[in-house]
Amino acid sequence: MENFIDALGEMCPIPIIKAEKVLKKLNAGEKVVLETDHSCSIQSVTGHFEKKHGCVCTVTEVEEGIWQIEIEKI
Amino acid sequence: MTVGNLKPTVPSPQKSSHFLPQYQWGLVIIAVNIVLLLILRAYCPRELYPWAFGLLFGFVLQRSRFCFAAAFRDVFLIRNTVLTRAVILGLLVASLGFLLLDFLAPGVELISTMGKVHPVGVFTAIGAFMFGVGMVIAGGCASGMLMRMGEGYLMQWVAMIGFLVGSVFGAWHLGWWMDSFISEAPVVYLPNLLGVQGAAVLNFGVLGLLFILALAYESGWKTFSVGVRNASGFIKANPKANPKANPKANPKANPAHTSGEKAAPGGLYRTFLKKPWPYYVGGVLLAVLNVALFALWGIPWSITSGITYFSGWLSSLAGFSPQEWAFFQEEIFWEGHCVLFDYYRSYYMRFPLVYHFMAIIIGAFIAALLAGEYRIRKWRSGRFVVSAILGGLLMGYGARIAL
Repeated sequence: MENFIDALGEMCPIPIIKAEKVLKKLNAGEKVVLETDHSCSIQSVTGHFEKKHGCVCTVTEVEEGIWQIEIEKI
Repeated sequence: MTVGNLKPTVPSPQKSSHFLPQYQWGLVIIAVNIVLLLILRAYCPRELYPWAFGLLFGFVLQRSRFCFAAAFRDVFLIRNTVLTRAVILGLLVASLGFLLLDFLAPGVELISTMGKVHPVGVFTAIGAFMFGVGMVIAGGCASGMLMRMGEGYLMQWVAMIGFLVGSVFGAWHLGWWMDSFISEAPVVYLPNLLGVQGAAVLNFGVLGLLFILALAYESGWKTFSVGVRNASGFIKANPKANPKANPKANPKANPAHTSGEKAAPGGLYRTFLKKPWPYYVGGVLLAVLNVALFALWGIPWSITSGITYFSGWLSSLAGFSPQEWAFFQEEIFWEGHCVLFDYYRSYYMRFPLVYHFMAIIIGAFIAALLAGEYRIRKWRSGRFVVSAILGGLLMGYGARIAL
C-alpha cells in the first residue's frame, strides 16, 4: 500500500483535510487508503470525495469500529 | 506516501473475541430498556417520554451520523454543505410539524408557553459564538457529544466533564447576565408580531433561501447556475459530470462494508442497522421525533438544560449552594412525581430532562452495538484532551447565557 493515511483517534474533519492534501499530489487512477476509527468518516469522507471530487471510494471494516477507506482519484 | 505513524490494520479472520457478538449485546440492552420503560410507565410517568425519546434520538443520531457541528463547520473548512442542508430540511419539517400542531389546537398557546420563548439580545450572540467555537474543538455539539460518548469516544467523555464545569459557571453567572442584559432584553415571538401565517411564510422563506444558498455555495456560483439551467432544460449535458462519481451509475463505486457484517444477518440488517442512513433521513426523523415529543409531552427536544441540572446536582454534592444561583430559581413542569425514586432524589435530579440526555447516550450505544462498531476509542494525542475540555467549557457556558 503506497499511500496510507493513519487517522486513528482523530475527529472530523481532520481525516478529510489530510486525504485532500494527499489526493492533490496523486495522478488519476492512483489510490490512497485512509484508516479511521471515527464512525462519521465512513459517511462524511466517502460522500465528500465521491460527490465533490468525483473519486471512487471503497469502505472496509477491518476491525470492529475501524475502517479503511480506499479513495481512487479519477 | 504515508501520513501518521501507524501501520495499516490487517483484517483478522477471527472477528469477535467476546463471548457474545456486539449486536447480541445490543439486543440485551434493548430488552433491559423495554422493561425499564414499562416500570417508568407504571411508576414514573413523568420520566417515560424523556427516556423513550432519548433512546430514539440517540439511535437516529448514531445511525445517520447526524452532526450539527459539521453542519456549521464544514461549510467553512471543506466547503461542504450536505449536513447544513440536512439540518435546514429538518428545521423545515419541524416548522411544518409545529405549524400543524398549532392548526390542530387553535387558540391554545402551545408554543409560547412551553418555556422556550426567551429574551434575545447580545448575550444570545455571545453564547452562540462560544458554543460554536466549543463544538468545533470538542468534536461535536451537545447532541454529537452524547452520541459519541455512546459510541465509545473517550474524547467526548472528557468534553462532557468540560461541559459540566462550563454549565456550573454558566448557571452561577446567569444572575449577572440577567441583571446586566437579559432583564432588559425583548422577547421576540414572531407569531405575536406577524401573526401565525406571516411568521410561517417568513420562516419557510428564510429556510428555503438558506437551503438554496448552501447548495449554491458548495458547488460554486458558476456550476450552480449551469446546474439550474440544466435542470430547467437549457443545456443538455454538464461537461463536468462524471459518471463514475455517481454511485448509482457505477455499481462498483460504493460496496461499503465488505467485511464486518459476515457474522450477522444480512439484507435488512445491512440496510437499516449497519450502513449509515443518509443525512437527510436523519434530519427528517429528528424533526418528526421533536414534534412528536412536544405533542405527547409538552416539551420539545432539549439537551443542555438537563446537563445543567445534572451539573447542579454534582456541585451540590461537592458542597456548593447552587440553589442560590439564578438558573435554578425557575420551576417549570414540576408537577407529577415518581413513587419509586422521589424520596431519594434531590431537587436537581427530579428534573426530567436529566434522564433525557442520559438516554441519548444509551440510544447511540445500542445503535453502535447493533452495527457491531462499538469500540473504546482513545484520542490520538494530548492536544485532543485539551481541546475537548476547552470546547466542553465553552459549550456549557455558552448554552446557559444564550438561554
